[in-house]
Amino acid sequence: MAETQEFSIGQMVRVKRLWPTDHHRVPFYLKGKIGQVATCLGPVENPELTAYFKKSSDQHILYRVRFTHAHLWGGSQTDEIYADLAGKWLCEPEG
Amino acid sequence: MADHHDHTHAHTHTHATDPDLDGHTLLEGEVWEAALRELLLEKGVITTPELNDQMNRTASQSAAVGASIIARAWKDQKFKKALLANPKVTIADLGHDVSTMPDLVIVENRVDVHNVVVCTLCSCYPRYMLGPPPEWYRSAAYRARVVRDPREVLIEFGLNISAETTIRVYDSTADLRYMVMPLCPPGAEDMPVTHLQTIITRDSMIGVGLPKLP
Repeated sequence: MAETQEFSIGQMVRVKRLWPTDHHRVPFYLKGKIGQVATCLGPVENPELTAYFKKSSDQHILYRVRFTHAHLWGGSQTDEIYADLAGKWLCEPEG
Repeated sequence: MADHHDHTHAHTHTHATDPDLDGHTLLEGEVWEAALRELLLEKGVITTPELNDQMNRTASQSAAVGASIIARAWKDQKFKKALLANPKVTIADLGHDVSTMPDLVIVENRVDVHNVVVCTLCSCYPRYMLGPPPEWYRSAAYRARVVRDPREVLIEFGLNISAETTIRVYDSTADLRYMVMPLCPPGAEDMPVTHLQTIITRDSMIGVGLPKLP
């Protein structure tokens, strides 16, 4: 099993600034940004492997993370963006 | 260099044509599709019956499926609750074969929250519920702009969302598919399900439109 970073609902998290060349399902506009864990969606297989039909016991927790439009773009104070991100792509906000 | 196939002869031979193509020249994409399909069949990766089954499944998918399910939810609170809590199981209970459907999330619009769906990384779309995606949904312009400037994009779709309403954009970055449960328009509550399902448009279930009263 790979290390599984776990976060709790309501916790603030930062999207890691990673630039891997493989199947990294994190949109560029979210890299380095801070959001709040809205929901825990349970374990998923490592998408970086399953994308290439590789089986592994490498499980990661998937989180739905809420970002404010104001934080991402400096715009509307009311609008929000939700994205589903694996725990391996997230870290503590100061990390 | 290999010299066994210098292609310098006059190019006068005719290419094989399919009688059903009415003699039109194949587009590049069609050549790729035929090459890939024939290779997959020849190598036994897929079989012809599997291919036909999938084509039938794809052809039978349309936004009418999603509309009928949303209309039912508007009329039946117990069903709606179950649908929002556990979409796939609830849809299967209606007799739908959801075995090939990816996990689904249905997000409900509220007076103070308007939901919109996008897939910025590729073009994930709840095909089972809504059929094949419209071209604009897959366009770079929609995918880039709806996360950056959702209000402006919605205005271009003819939807002016009040400043007090939160626009919540769902970027389907993982293996979950998202669709919107629009609000039942005032005055439509008493319509029968069969009528309601005709006013629930595809766009209203993506979040770029509202149900249309006749």
